[in-house]
Amino acid sequence: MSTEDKVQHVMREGREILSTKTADDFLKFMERNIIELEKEDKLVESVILWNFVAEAMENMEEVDIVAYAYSKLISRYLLLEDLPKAEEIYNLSIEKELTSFHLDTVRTIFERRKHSPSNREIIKIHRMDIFGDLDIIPASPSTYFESAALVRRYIHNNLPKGTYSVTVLNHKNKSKEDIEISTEDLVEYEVISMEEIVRID
Amino acid sequence: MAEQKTIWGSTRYFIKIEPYTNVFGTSMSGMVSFYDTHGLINELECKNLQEIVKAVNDFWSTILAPHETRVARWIEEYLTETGVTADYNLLLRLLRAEELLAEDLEDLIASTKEVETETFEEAFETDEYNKIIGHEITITKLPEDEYLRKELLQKLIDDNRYMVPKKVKSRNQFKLANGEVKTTEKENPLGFGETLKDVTFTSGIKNVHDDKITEVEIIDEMPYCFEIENISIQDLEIDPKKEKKDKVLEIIWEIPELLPQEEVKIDYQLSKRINRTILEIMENEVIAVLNTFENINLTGLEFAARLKYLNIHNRQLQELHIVDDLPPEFTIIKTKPEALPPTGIVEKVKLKGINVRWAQKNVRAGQTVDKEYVLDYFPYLFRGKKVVQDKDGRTLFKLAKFIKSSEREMGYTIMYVIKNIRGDIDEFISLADKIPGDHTIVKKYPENAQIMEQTDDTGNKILTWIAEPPVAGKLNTVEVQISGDTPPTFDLFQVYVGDKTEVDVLEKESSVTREMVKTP
Repeated sequence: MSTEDKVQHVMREGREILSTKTADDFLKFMERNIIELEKEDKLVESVILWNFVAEAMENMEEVDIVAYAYSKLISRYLLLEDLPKAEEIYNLSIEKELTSFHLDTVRTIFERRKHSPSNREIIKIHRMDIFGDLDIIPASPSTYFESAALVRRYIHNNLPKGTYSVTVLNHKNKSKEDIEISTEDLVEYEVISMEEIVRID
Repeated sequence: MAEQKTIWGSTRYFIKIEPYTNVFGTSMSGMVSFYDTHGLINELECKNLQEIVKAVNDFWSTILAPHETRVARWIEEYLTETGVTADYNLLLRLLRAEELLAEDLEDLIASTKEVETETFEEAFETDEYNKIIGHEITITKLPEDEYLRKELLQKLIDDNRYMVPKKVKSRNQFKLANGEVKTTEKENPLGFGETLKDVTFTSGIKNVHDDKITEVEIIDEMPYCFEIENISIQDLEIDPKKEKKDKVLEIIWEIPELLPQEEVKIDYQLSKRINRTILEIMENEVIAVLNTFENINLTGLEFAARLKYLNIHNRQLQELHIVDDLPPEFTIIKTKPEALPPTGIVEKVKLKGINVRWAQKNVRAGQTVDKEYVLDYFPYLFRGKKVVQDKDGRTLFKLAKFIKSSEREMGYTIMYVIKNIRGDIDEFISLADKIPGDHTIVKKYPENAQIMEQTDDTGNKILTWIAEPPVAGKLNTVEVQISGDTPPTFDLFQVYVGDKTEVDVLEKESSVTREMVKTP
């Protein structure tokens, strides 16, 4: 069977699975076949099939699988060095507000490969004290970061050891996010904890 | 400490795996982190080896074309470098398998039934009020495949490991004046005592009726994982009856009568035992599973446990597997015989504690397999916090006490912290705290901190730190190094603001948990 026939055959069987079995069964079947093709370096065929998966799952509103398929598409376009197509899928994934662990990973890889402009700014830093209270500390304005991971790295490298809650403004979509991060050296202890609230007249 | 390692075939992408256990197996959990030359890209906490393998493979196939054998070899090499002996074939199998084989394993278990264990108790010299819980499991066929066989044995061990309860059930029965018999039932939480090993439990009854109640019976269902060290029932001279049941030891108190509003309180002092799971594999696909509960005794400055096993069957066992789960408060100093892989493995699981696994083949009829452990406390940290409010519910101060064991010498360090929330009180603040009478202050920091020492009626020392209130939002701290060869007192201090002290406890909460924390 030629590669083209194989792709057609997989799509046909995939459609049949979709009509009788679950979306997970469909994904398992498709992924098994795509991996076989990728092992023979058939990345273009892989992209065709992942597009097919994304489209089919979008119709069924299986958001998690769509996010997974998008992560595969971005990474495959990157492997094919087709940055414009990778960017197109990347932008679509943001527009559709898709999110998953694997998609976030791949998006960060894409951003760094593309050297996309920085868009996150630290606007507030709180440091936690020994009682668990958050005290505000001065934040340097106008420092921009391309990803949340780089914000974390900045906290690690530039602030004294501590537990922080950092508010970041994403200028691209005007949203704010809070990042919790501890840069302390943590040690495993058997912790005996007692807490009391008492009243004094 | 886990390090980043380059993905083979790439110069700019790295992976770091931090396993939560030192023993390789399908139940191994851990954290997988991905990096490029800029730094961290993402990280994922994985519940088992299947998830670890999948996370690495997914990331790998984002960077390069999929290559299962290379990924399996890379993970094997990585884990070996971190001191975990990995199995390439199992890794490859997990990479290729679509899901775990849990359902298939379930199919291999034909039946499970409870069995009498008196003969085991006699042979193992189990204490009079201790028990062995026994099950007999019949397997349709022991798998020939080594991986499946290991998985099945692990599943049988996991399914039958004893879970330490957090509550103890108590049942009360009594007769009302009109002759009606009433029964009540409730679960009371266990508490921890003055040392790490000890646990306390309180039960009892109060007569809330207008007339006296008679033929009062209190039955406390004590799990076998606790050894009863001491029981007190106020000043009543009653000895309880003890009855061994399948899962619990029933402590039965009989009180002839209770007057209206009269209350009886029973205090137990318990200590934790080692929970042992034994798997005896016979040749004909019958597996006996035993749960035993082993005492831990204080010997000098350390703790010791001697655990006995005897093959009481009149035939050779094909295999014997033993897992000893130590209470999480302990760490192992020494085992006898020495635990050396593959027959003896000390597994340290992050945030969960230590277990010791023993495996032996061809155990003869009548053969004994005895083990000894020398134990010490796992490094502990006491964290006590008190919030002081005024009569209107406004927080005035927050105070904290931390105790941690000294690393180099006998004893421990206590740190006290005061935080002034409102800043409108300028009276002195005092913290009065109790330490055992034979413990001594060796050093304090700052040296000019004002700490008084007194001895109370019970022979304990009372340390009183008198401090000026810090400015609003700021902290005032003192650190005291104490020497003593017994554990400290894990309790909160008393607060005084000027000459006023606490009049009411509004909320109280306590717990013992394994945590990753910053040393204060």
